[in-house]
Amino acid sequence: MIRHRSLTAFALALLTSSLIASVASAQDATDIVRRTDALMAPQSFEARMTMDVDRDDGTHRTYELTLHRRDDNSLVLFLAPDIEKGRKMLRRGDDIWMSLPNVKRPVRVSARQSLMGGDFNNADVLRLSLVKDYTAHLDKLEGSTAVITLNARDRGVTYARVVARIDVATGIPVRYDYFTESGKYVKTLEFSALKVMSDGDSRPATWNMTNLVTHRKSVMRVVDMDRNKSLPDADYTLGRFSR
Amino acid sequence: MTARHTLTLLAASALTLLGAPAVAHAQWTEAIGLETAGYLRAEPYFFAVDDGASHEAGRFELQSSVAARPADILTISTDLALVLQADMGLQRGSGQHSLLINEAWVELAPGLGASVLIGKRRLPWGAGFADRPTDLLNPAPNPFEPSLLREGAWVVAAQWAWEVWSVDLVYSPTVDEASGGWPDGLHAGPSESIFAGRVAVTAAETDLSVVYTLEREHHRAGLTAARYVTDDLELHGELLVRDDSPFPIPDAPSLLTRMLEHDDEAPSVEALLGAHYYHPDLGLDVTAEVEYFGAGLTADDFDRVLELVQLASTLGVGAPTDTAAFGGANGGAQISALRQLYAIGQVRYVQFESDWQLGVGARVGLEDGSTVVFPSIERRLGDATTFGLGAFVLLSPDDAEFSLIPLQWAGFGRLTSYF
Repeated sequence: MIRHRSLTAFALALLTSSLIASVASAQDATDIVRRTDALMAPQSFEARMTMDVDRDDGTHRTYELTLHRRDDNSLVLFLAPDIEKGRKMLRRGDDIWMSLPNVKRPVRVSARQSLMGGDFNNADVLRLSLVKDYTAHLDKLEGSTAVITLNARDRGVTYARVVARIDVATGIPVRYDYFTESGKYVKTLEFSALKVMSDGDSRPATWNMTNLVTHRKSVMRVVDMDRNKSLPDADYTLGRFSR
Repeated sequence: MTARHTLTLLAASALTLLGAPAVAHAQWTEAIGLETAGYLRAEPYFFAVDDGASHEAGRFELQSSVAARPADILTISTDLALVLQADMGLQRGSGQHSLLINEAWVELAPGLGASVLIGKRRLPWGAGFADRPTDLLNPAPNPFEPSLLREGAWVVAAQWAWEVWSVDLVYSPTVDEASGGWPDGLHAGPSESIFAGRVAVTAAETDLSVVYTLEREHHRAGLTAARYVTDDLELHGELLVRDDSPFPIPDAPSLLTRMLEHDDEAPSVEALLGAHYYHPDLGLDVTAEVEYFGAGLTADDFDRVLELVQLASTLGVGAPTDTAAFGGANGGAQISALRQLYAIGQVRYVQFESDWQLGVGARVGLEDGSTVVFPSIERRLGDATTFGLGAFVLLSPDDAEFSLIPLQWAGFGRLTSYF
């Protein structure tokens, strides 16, 4: 009888400690991802970027753009090449619109659609907050790097699962592996080339996206980023975007 | 093309091509948020008209837009085009050139989402692609222009945009345009102006708007909606209720309207329903729309118009129903809807990888089979140049609506260099 009670107590303790560890792991993971969000996608910022898209014929195309964010809204303005000048995209919450200078009418676009035919999709650039879109679980530590599994909070999120490798101390991302709902491993995003930006923070300036389905690559380079700059709130409204 | 035209074009080209980029890259431009863009475009046209004759035409356009935002509260923008047209053949003389004001406006945004805009501006209201019944501010789109870009109107427009809401109030007087958008006279009286208001909101992933317009003492009220129902399929619709039924042939003789017993003052409805599908992997972009004009001619009325046209032709007097007018303010054509029901479709095959874009658009009169088809092909050449070919082919049965257009087909080339 005593032996049975001891076993029950031991099992309960094990379960409780396992639950506590799991909650702590989720909490730790969320804290780490939150640090990454604060660094890579602060609540308000302006970034100047270039995007190189590899093409099947061996050539590549380069786009210049500015990315603006304020709270849950983002705006992308294309600066180059000349042929794409004036193209812009707005994200408000779950909705994304695109406007072309020669049409003017904003058209809704899907978050999953490819950005300019490259391997980044619209959400990769416009929907940057990981904490809002995913729940985090700490899988393991590899030295100073945490391996965290991010599971989409709902089916509207572009990738069902992301395995993120993040430096624990700084929150600087090292690598994200993207998986679909069926578990297919589709893309890898690798971060490199730490650079001190205008706001004084060090961030990876080169983001290499490898598409494992098309076997192509696209590279985003952050020329500069400043969390102290952003456009006024009204610029992120559809009313202003439509004008 | 005269020597004077050539010199004007070359001088303007040199000024814009060399001047604008130089200005854009100067260091001080960043401080005032200066942005420049533009293109130089050459378009040879070939027309085959009903009498069997053919015409050639040339159109050169130098477009340049400059926008400055010296402070968050102030934006100044201009979009000008120098256009040279030679031997338009149908309704224009040869060697005309003009400077067009596409847009020229100043906007003051003092904060809290409020802004006031004064000038000429394209304000794209409505949810439709090929046409937008609730867009009463801009002239109808030019069917020769693949993007169906509208011309814009002179306005004083106030907007309050907050989160997912926006409220617009617009006043637009009648402006006499001497040529190509240059204002000549202004008629600001209530009976010569448009007062418009719009409330737009995004709710449940749907873009909704309610529009009211008082246009030259006539009331119009409209609703628009657009929503993605799957990742790639958007549905949209517009409904406009108006307290009049404008006769579909502009400037028609009163004898004709009396003969057809057309009641201009009867209420009428315009509606558009459509779908837009984009398949990202295939690069396939499809739009299909159906449009209804309540004030359009019925089959009986149209037959009587046709009899009148044939009579006028026999008597050698001008027909009142030339529905195509080439060489409009933007150098293109206008097709007015005479009947009530149309289907409009466009299929584009966009290949980012190989830089090709194939497209075909069509407008079909569902009551008589009148059909206009616009096939086009475009190739991107590097980062700044595109080359395209297009055509405008009428496949209208005899005695059907589009048979009134004095044209069999038109073809054009388009070489555009962006800067």
